[in-house]
Amino acid sequence: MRGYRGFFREMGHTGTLRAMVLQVRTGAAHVLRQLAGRRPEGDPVARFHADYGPDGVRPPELAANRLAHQAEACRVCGLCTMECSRVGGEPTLDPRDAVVAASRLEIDWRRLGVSPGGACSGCDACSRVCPAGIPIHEIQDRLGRIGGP
Amino acid sequence: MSAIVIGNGLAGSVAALALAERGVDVTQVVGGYGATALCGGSLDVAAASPGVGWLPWRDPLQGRPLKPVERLHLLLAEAPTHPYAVLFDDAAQAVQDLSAAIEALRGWLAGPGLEIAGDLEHARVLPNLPGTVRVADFVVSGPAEADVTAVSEVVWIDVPGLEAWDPAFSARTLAHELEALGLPVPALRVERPDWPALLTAPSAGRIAPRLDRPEGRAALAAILAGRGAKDRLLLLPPILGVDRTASLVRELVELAGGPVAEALGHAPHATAGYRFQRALAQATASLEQHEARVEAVREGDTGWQLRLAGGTELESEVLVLATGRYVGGGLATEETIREPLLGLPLFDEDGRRVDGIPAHRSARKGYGNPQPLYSAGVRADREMRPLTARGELRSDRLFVAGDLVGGFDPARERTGMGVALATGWRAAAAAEARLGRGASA
Repeated sequence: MRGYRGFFREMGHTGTLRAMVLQVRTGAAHVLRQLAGRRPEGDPVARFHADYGPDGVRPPELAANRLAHQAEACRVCGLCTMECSRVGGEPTLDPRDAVVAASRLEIDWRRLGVSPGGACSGCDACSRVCPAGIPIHEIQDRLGRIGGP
Repeated sequence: MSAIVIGNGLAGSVAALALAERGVDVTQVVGGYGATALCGGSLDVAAASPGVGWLPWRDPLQGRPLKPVERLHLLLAEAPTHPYAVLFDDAAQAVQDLSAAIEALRGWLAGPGLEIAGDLEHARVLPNLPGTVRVADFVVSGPAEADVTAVSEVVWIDVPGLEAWDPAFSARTLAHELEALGLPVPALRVERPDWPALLTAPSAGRIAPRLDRPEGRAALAAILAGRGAKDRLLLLPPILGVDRTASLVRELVELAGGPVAEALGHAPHATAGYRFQRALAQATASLEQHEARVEAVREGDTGWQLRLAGGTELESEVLVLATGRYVGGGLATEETIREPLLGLPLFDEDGRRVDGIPAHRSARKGYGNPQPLYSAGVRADREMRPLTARGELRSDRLFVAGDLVGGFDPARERTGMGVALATGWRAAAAAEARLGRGASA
């Protein structure tokens, strides 16, 4: 019993459980659509966004994967946080969070609830200071665009 | 009376020097560079970055930046797992201990020629390299007048060919930031003097050593002479020497006729951190030092035995661990999060056990949630003796200091340096007290 609980807790931590639920749901929706005889129309990427966007699922993109790989080099030194001087940031945001979010399986961009780029002054100090060379500002920017309304 | 200190960052150096001053036979195991070497030039006791974290940086009613002592007050009241809350009953005690530690540090760094300006009663608003502002408590190796809100004019000196030094951009950013923060905006200007080839290089770290030499000093003095005024801050990139910064700054201030300061520069332009680490190394050079990785640590009946890479064996009655976190190597995250030397249990600021969790799975979901990695570290009692998972003493001959102590996020509240000072200071006092009790205790 303890093992199961640990299993689910861990999946909850990493977002795996949510990913699985979404997978099953989208799979079922696909089958139902096929049965109903609805033919797909228009641009596939736009269709993907329309169908699955509301659930927070995004089509994988090369640039995002590259950023995620780079973000994995993070050693959590916190220099970006210390260097960051976001102006009037409310709610307050931490560049480290963007890196951690990008490097982990974080599919729930839409529910971040905030637009990280919105509070950013664009000084790029976070990327310059990073000892691991992670393009933090690019990640923030991307999160801002994806996470925004 | 013998002690081994593992670590040569701020915490380890403070502990080692304080123990040596109390007549203890200290051996220091030094490794590479830790977080201290990444310092950008300010030594913060409890500073908040505008817009980051919960610690306010200014008085909500009056709008003025909070004094360090006021921030300490807030921190002690609001963060029960923070090392300050473990160490101190109230802000008065914190001020007393921190002031004593800073005073001692000033004494140790006077030899290597590094000055620490500032006090706990005044906050400073300093410019970063890109023009963003930083509320800072103490300034390492710069004059305390670098405060951009205390002058009526800030003049950037253009240094052609230096990467990351874009005065016009910095000036625009600073104006924008000060305005948005509701602080007075001084007149901002860029001056482009004829810059000598002698002082031209793409990185600040390569110009700085040239300013230790007389010809470099003379060249810079010629540029700055008469350019300053009492109310005008001349702002340079972090190039003002490596080993004799304090005297160089004094010289320049006198020549220019007004304050001259460096912008704070973090990695890869952390000249100040390099300077700080070098000065600490010089201050501790008279101690017995071994530069090697620690391979094994064992506690015997009368003390500790260490085996270093290369086969050296060390013995002492007490051990102070000041190995840092992820940068210093005090915590390993290759597979699971763990303390590699003794396998001490680790906790985050919510009191959750963190060691043993695979690092890549430790992330808590949601943007903006405090992540366990940010505040993971060893839990210790008031004497800085690490505790086991059940809250018992691990050993009364073992002490910890610096970032290795968990329960706080050094980046968010910007208390890393202050904690290194306070815990190093306390660990030394407690270790000496333990040595005084002898083997029978």
